[in-house]
Amino acid sequence: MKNKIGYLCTYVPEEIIHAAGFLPVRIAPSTTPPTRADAHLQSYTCCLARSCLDQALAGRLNDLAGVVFAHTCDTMQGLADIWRESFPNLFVETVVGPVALNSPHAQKYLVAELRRFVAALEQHFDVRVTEDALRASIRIYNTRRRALADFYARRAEFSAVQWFNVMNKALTTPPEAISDRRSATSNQQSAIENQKSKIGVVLVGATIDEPTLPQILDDLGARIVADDFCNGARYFDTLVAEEGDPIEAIAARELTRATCPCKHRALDDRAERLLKLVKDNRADGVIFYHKKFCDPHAWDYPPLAAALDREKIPHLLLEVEQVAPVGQTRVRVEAFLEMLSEG
Amino acid sequence: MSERRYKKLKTAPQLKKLLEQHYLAAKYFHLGKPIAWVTSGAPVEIVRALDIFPVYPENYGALCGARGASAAMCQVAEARVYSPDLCAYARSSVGMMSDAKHAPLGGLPRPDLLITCGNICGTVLKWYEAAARHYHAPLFILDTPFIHADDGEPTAHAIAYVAAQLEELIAFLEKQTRRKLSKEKLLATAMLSSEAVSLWCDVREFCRARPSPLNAPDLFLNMAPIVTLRGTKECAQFYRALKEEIAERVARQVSALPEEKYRLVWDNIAIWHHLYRFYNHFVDYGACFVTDTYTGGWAMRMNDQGDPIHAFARTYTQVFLNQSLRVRVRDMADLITRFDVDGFVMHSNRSCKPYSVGQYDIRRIVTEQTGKPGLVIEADHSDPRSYDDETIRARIQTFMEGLR
Amino acid sequence: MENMPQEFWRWKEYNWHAPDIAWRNAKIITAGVDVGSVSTQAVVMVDGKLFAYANRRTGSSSPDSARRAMDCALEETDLALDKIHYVVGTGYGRVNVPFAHKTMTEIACHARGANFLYGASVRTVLDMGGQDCKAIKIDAQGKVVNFLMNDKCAAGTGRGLEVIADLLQVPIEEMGELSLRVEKEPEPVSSTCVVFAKSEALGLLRKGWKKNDVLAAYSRAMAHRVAALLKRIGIEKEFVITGGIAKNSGIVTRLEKELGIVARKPDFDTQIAGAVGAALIAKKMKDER
Repeated sequence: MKNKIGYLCTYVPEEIIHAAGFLPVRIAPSTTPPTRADAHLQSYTCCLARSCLDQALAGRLNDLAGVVFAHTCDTMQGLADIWRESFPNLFVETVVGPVALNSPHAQKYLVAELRRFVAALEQHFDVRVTEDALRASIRIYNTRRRALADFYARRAEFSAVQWFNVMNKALTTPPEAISDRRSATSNQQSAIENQKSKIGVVLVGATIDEPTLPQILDDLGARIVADDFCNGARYFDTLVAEEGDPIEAIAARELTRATCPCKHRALDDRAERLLKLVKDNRADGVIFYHKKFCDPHAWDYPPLAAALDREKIPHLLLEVEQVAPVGQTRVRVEAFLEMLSEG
Repeated sequence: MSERRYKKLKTAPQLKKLLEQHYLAAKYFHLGKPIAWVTSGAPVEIVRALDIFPVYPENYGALCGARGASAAMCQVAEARVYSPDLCAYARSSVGMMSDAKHAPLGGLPRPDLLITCGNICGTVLKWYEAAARHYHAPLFILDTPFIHADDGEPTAHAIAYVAAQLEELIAFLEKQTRRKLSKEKLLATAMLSSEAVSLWCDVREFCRARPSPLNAPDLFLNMAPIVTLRGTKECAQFYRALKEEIAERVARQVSALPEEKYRLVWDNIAIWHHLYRFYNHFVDYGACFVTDTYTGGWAMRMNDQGDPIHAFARTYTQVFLNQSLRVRVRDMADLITRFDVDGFVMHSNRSCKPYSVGQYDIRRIVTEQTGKPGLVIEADHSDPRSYDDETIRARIQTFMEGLR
Repeated sequence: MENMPQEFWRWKEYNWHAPDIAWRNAKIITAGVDVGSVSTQAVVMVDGKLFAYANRRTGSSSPDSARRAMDCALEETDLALDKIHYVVGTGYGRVNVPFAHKTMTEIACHARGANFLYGASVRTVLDMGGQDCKAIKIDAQGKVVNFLMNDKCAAGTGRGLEVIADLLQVPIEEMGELSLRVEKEPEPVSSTCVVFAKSEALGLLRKGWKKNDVLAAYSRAMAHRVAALLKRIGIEKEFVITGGIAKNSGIVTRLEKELGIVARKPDFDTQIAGAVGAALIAKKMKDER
């Protein structure tokens, strides 16, 4: 029996999938340009949608027993349905979480939606998701999140590429494999030469899936001091409470973790968080690493840029389709770093 | 500017006057009523029942498109670092916020309240957040969970969630207006709304006649009141007159086109900036769009069983853009059969991802199910910079030749 | 060579030097080499004064292009490369300048170069290069405060202009003037993509448009695209244009009209701004050592 279930967005409750006996693995865009997906998705959809579907259509995700979506943006909403049509025998579900995280009714709704998801898993795979199993999975995932947070606290010892490798490996390997900082960074030699680099940047975006930008930052001697990626710090910034009803606890985490721009908690919470990341980590500047055609992040860029401008924090916008073009990315980043070091 | 090349409606001046009065009143004669910006899928009946004056930025976006003002307004937003890939309605609205002087009608009136409802797209959340930041107006988000179920039925917990938020919306509006919602007034407004919706449904159904009394641009233009004036006496009055005129056309077998040779279904929002020029390409072949999925979006009949709040919750959650691909396939196939058409045309709309993502699959499945061919055309509902007439004409020609 | 087809896109290569500067008494001699995707410039400065420069077409190899430009700049002087104390490489081929001590991006170099060539009051620099286009905001010292680059596409760039020159068989140096000689300003071509613009231009010719009108329509589209970049960064006075396209009066005039701001006109070659900046930065680096 296939034992993996794929997901694209970290709002998918991996503890529930794990407690049902499956390994949740993140599906990430590849570096090959999509071909098959063009028959299903318009050219104005993002590479995350196009590349992930393309890999599935090419048969490269045949080891998955199912794919679970979380309701986020308009493209993902459409992609979930397209996926279901393309793979009629596959378990394809969407957890339709709340958008208005600040609604007093969001928690109650999300709990009911998560219970519906549990029932769908149980029915489709003929399994039982017990409370004990949920508690055990919550503990395992909390341990992994703590290990990643601990790695983050010591990230000055690592290069940007190492940071990238650790984060990307984390979401595709069994959670038990990462229980402390050492296991998170296995095979990653601490990069001592990186300590002499002076300029620190905060990266902001949906996801980062290929190492061109980290490699450029390493080459130019800059450090990533913090990030706001879905598959970066936003993934582990909040733990699930280990007491009380496990579904209630999973729901509570989803409502309190750092906000994705597809969701709403307050008008300016993302700007406040970004300014705090810059100040707490003494960053010199911010790099927005956006996917072309990603509406929610494009919408948040003007207010975030304005908030940074008010605080006189320099920033750079990079818009990337699938793989960041090396020459163009490098000249922008290099000019940005020159600007920061002159200031 | 191209002219329409098919029969004009007698009620057209009435429509024009109605909308002009609406925008005039919004700007100058709202008589002390607070102004609320609302999305096209928001439960406006509650807003009206509290004597709040609703205005529709989406309709204004269409107006900018139709008046050829979108590109300039979008450019204002782009200069303010908004991405040119975002929805052009929203972009022109953001442009209008910072440069009302140069906007059509001198811009929309400043909102006292903002009510956004996610049942049509994710963009309206971000758009209204931008408006809330710009105007410092309080923002209410009505969160209507998307329905992935094949039967189009929302889950019980989704209904309960939306109903709870509707109660909250009422409390929010009562607090903002320092008024109490009168249940009678709400019911009266809902009745007027239902009446107009019902008349609009009838008008649309008349187009099953051969030849069809209306072509798609008629539907697009005449849907404006159902969106912006739903729940008012004037709105219901207008649709009574329209229905009368169309009934007469059908009785006398008056065709919208000079000669109707082909019948088609339209999918997605209108191409406002080239409305006649674009649809004339089809008139050239005697092809009439007898129905569409877009203007039918506001033809949902109010579910009136039981508690009105639950009825609102259900109705507004089940809006067609909040429904899965399978429901969209079902609806399209249903239109094809009931309106007895020869094919369908889908506007792949760069500005509207929820409406457009999935169209390629919908086209394939609908053709498999009905045997009717479908054409996908890439354009934008209001940004003319994404419209290439040469390419589009060539595609239309190929498609129409295939129908013969 | 009468059978050689005329290459309309090709512009003239040249060099210049200041005969009255005695480099032998100089404290510091620096150079900047700007290897762009289309052209390469080498600039030599003696104690911070312009001594010699050259402008050549970039070849297939960046190191060779850099060497050729430097040789050309020094050609009519008695200065040799090994007498130059410090060299900074910039531009798209900056890491491939074999004799450079250090590299800087063309953004920093154009900022510094514009400050030197036009004076400290410059706040906005538009560099229209061969392969991309940059809007740079600078301070009174010529330091970069903010910058924006257009997306990866030849529209609005020198390479795009060359394509159109070739297509319409108009010498590239005359394009600007010809595009202004129209009875009525036409609508801009709708497509900003070079490939599409090319087919659109062909379509217009087939429709019987005159060459000048097609040039005007294309220049207007290009100006419009560049204007959007400048509006996005927020244009401030004084405004200057560097790079090769600054020499195209058709584009500059239309750009000024759209922005409602007049660019300061240079009394020197705008294409050398980047290499000048690099030579100045070289001096600063050497001074700081």
